[in-house]
Amino acid sequence: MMPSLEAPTGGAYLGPRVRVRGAVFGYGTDSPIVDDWSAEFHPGTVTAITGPSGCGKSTRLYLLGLMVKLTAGAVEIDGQRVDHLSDAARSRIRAWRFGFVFQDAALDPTRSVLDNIIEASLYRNQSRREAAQRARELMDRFDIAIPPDRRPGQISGGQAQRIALCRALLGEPDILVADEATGNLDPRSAATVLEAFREHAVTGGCAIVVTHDPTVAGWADRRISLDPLHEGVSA
Amino acid sequence: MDQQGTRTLVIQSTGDSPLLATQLVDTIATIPLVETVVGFGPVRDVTAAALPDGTRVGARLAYGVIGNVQATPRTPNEATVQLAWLSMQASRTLGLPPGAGTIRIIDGPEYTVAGVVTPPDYLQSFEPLVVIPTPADPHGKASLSTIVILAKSPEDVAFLGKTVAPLLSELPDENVSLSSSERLATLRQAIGGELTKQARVIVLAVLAISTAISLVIVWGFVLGRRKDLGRRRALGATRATIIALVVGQVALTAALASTMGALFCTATLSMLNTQIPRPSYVMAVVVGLTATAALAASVPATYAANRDPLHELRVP
Ligand SMILES: Nc1ncnc2c1ncn2[C@@H]1O[C@H](COP(=O)(O)OP(=O)(O)O)[C@@H](O)[C@H]1O
Ligand SMILES: [Mg+2]
Repeated sequence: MMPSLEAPTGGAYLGPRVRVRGAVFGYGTDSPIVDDWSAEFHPGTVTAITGPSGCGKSTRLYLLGLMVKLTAGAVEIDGQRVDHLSDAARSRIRAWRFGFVFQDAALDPTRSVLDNIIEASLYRNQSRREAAQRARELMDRFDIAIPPDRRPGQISGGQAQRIALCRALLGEPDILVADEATGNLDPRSAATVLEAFREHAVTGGCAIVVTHDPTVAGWADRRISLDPLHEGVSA
Repeated sequence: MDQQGTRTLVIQSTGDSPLLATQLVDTIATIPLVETVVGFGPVRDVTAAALPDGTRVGARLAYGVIGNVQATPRTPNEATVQLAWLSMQASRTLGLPPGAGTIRIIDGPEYTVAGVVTPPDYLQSFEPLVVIPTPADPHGKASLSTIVILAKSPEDVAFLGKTVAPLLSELPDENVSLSSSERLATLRQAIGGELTKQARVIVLAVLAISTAISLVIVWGFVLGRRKDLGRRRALGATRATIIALVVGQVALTAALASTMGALFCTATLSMLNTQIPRPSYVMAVVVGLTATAALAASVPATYAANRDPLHELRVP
């Protein structure tokens, strides 16, 4: 495992941050959900993956996040193939380079809001104190005015998703990924999340949002449509 | 346990030939703390003389005092008359009337039954008792393999042992043993052995049951946490981290639980004034239970770690 994969590379590389080539993946013995899929995701860009429910959007996100083993094809980060690396190496790439925001926030209900935000720092072997400091800054930035020792059960859905956003941003990832992250949110919270993704792209990050919401898709810089009727990439 | 049992000292010689001389019995008899002392030779099988194929009973040459019988022939004359004393139980077993009849050592001489010997409490273990009084050993010869000493009081036994031990110093250590109240000791040993065996079985059973229970509980725990573990995997936890997490949490719980259990047991035992197990034993049980739980946890932990995170993320 080359250390360059664990931290953003500086300067020289100018190609896509993430590239998928001819990826094939299916659950069990079913015919593949992802069949010969190729796509590119660039730094400084918000890319939306759109399509009807059940067409395999989430599956593609997991594929990008190196959480599944491809039947065929490859996933590259900064031009280097990474999908065939060991589980430990792929886990480290997830911990260091990806920030994920899931549909339902996916917080640990048994632990405090602060612990939830700093969870992944454990997987990056980062100091808890530094992580907690940064977590408080992020909570300020996203206007989360709740005590850090509050449990997720005692907060609103919008707050939960903003906390999930803090968790995703804590490790300063260069690939920020959201799966229907604004689906269940009030307009203000949805706007906060989208602004954060825009901000991430503006500062050179690679942002990927999965959505079935045409408004969100229209707001993105690029769209990858999985709708069989108008499949393709638009900018 | 009879009172006399706690007053007994037994000298025993093992090996092929008897090592204890009758003079030793005479010497011990002079010690003021001794109430009575008797020596026995090795067991020889006897039958009723008239029934050579009848039931066999072990007979012993005897020297000293056995309850009502003074087994020390007073005169050489008496010794030449071949006499035996039988307990009621021995006579019955051999098919002889109480205190009468004739017995014969297998392929050996005959003895006339001179009377009934009533074995005192501390000699009950020698029943069915057949004693053949033997004359004093000629110099340099030993005919006894066991000497049973009855002290005047249980408190004297320890001191008596110290007094008797030097008398045995000439004899080979490995073939002669001196033990206080043999029956008690044997019984204690038997109970002790039983207890250790039982304790071992109990400990093994407890470990086996706790492994099974831990396995079930941890399976449930892991299944209930699929979403949690899936999220952790998605956020970058390696398989090793997941396994360490699950095993660590289970081991911590088990360590706390077994420590509390051990403290509770020790407290209860001390309140009951019962013997408290050694701290090292308690520690071993705590460590054993914790290790068992951790071991049991490692199976579902490995299972959980090897599931694709997305399967778990989709758990509602
Ligand atoms: N673990 C799984 N096993 C089998 N089939 C699955 C599994 N997860 C998803 N699928 C199926 O794969 C298809 C794509 O799912 P998904 O990627 O979640 O679609 P989307 O996010 O676009 O709604 C769906 O038909 C779904 O039923
Ligand atoms: Mg989906």
